Amino acid sequence: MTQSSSGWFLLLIISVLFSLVTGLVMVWMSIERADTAFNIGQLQRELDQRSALHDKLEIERDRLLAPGDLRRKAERFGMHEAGPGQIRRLPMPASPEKGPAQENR
Amino acid sequence: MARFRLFHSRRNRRSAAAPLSGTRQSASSARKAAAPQKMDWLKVRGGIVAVLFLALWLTLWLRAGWVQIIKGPDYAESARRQHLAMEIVELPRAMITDRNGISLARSVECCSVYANPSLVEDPAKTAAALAPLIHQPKERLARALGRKRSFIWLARRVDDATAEAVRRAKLPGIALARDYERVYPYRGVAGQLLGFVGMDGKGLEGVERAYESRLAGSRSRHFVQRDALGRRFQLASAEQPDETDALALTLDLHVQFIAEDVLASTVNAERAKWGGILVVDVPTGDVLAWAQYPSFNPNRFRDATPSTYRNRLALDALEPGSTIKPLLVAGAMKEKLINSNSKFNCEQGRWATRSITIRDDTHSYGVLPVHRIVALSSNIGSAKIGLLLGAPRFQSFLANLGFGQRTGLPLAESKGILRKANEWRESDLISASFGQSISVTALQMAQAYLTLGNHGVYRPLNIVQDQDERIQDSGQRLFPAKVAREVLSIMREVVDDGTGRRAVLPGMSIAGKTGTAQKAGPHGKYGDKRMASFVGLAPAERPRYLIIVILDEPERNKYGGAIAAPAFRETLARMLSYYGELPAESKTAPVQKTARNDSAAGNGQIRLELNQTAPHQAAPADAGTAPDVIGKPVRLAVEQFARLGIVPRLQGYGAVVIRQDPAPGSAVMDAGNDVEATLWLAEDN
Repeated sequence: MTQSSSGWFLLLIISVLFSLVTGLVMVWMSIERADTAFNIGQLQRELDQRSALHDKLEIERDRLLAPGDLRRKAERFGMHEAGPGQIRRLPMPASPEKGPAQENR
Repeated sequence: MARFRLFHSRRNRRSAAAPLSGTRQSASSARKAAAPQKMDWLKVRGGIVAVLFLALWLTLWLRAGWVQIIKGPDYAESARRQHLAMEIVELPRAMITDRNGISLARSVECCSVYANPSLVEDPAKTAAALAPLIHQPKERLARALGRKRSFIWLARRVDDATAEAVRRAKLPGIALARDYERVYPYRGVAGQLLGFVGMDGKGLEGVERAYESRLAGSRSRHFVQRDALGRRFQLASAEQPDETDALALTLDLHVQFIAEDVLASTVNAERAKWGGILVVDVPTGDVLAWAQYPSFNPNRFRDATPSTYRNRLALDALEPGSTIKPLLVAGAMKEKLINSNSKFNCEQGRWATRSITIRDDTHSYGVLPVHRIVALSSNIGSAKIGLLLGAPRFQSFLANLGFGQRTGLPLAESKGILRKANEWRESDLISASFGQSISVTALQMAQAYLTLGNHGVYRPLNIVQDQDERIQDSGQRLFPAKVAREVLSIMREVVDDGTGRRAVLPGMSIAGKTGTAQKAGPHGKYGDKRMASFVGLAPAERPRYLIIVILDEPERNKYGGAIAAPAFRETLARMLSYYGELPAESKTAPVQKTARNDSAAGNGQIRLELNQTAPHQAAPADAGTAPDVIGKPVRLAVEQFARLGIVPRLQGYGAVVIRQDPAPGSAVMDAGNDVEATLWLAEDN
């Protein structure tokens, strides 16, 4: 076997091996891609479900915070809208714990 | 191999048959004769093998060509169908919010139950299992499942628990489909304005219908891959449809609730057929509240009748009654025919013209200036102003204010009735001067008074905040600001010393006008039914809020000043309180729930009790000593300390004070020093 023919033979072997490895990598990537896509799909469905649940919980919160319901609950504690002269604006004190009250007159 | 052995044995037999004494030459010639026979066999065999391989190879190529070229597209399509599935991505209908972003209507995902009867093995058995889950009669279900169809809806938009129960039942031929349900979290709040959507998700009434193209959910189709079990997953990044932005209305949920609350109590107390309140922000024309009672819950629109969800504030055109009078005066003042002191003889309450006889409802007046004519709501004085103004100018002025035409809001709306001036007879002009023979909607009335509130500049009403959807403001001036100020001053007199005294809110100047319109019967004659109304602007000098109250066919009291004016006052007071704009009125306690005296003044007026102590309101503490707030609600406790100039520190959680420092009665006025107070809280059990 001459020098040049052994070089061609080596190149052929390398090419065949490269093709084999490339093919295997492609197969592996395809499987991974499908697997990842499947996981993403599952996560997307989970996200949709949680979003739907979030929307429902927000509606429930809105119902609980409806002005009419809050008013009825407030009335149980003797609270109602401020009347004339009952609104006071307190200045923001340096210390949050104390500060003089001022009537808004 | 057997053939090879046979060949050898034959050759051996031939060798054996040859005479041993035969020459070597004859043996070699015999071998020569046998050699061509062996070569032929090899060729034949090789040829056969070559032909076989060639045939096989050709067959393979032909088959490959058949599969790839001839049947290729069909097989590719089959494979695509097997591995790909079309998926419809549907985005929900856009949300409707109030001006603060609080959702008034939104779509949530839910499930609907459907059946493929061709896959149902035993309709009766399936129906028996499914009926209790979706709460439907099993006979009806069995009939539906027995039909020869491939798709039937069994229950639309079921709740999550029902959907889960159906999923767990795993009934053949029964499945769940994703759906969207329109939910109105605050139930009947602004129900008639919001409208509702049908089963197919399209808006059928109100804002839902008016802004259908803006609100409608979008859908797109794309292919997804599926595995052997049919589970779907996405390989390519499919384009998702854009989510539609929420539609922000100008309504303020809290103001809307206040208006509805006041309206409900007033309509029920006065046994009115229906009532409505419109609250408008005057500088912008934004509608803050659109209240109507009886209310309508869009979540249950199937249970409602068309009259319940009818948007009466925009659709019902009624004769406005005396609320037209300030506009008449504005028109006459614009033409410089009168001023607020121009005097007219009110004929002692009865005036017979050539065409009709007019009576003032309750009182007899002699000569009155214009401001008193409006304040006392004299029909005769108004008729004389109308005659002075004349039909063309009055009709033109009313048309410019927006009567006889739609306001431009994208809602179903009535144009009302405002005939052409040349069709007006003298009697029409006279009656139009005190609000008869023309019909207007509450919305048109709000539009007209909005111009007055903006000192003569026309400003369109708006119900949405999006700039693209708003009616453009032309800024056209319809009458001079001086006229508007003068009319507002006259309207202020209506409240301070006229028919609208029950609208007085201490500390706030209010311009208002009462209205009590007779309602025409089916045959056109006026009967004893009335529409009571009140239109008010506050503050009178530079109006910020416009409130219109309408009560249709009240049974207990028919006068706008007696029943609509207090509703206006309560709405305004609670609204200002909510905005923190309630004026300080030093000696008055908060406005308490209205007490009604059916026999008061013979007309069942509403009395707003002032200076009435609230049930939980404690007596004021002695000056300089700590009040006793133990057991009291935290708000009252803080308020009592605040009166002494002390903001107490709160410890713990709860609504009731269980301990206090300083102790009740101890001195808290430490000259020059800050006094600290602490309240310990607990839940009220």
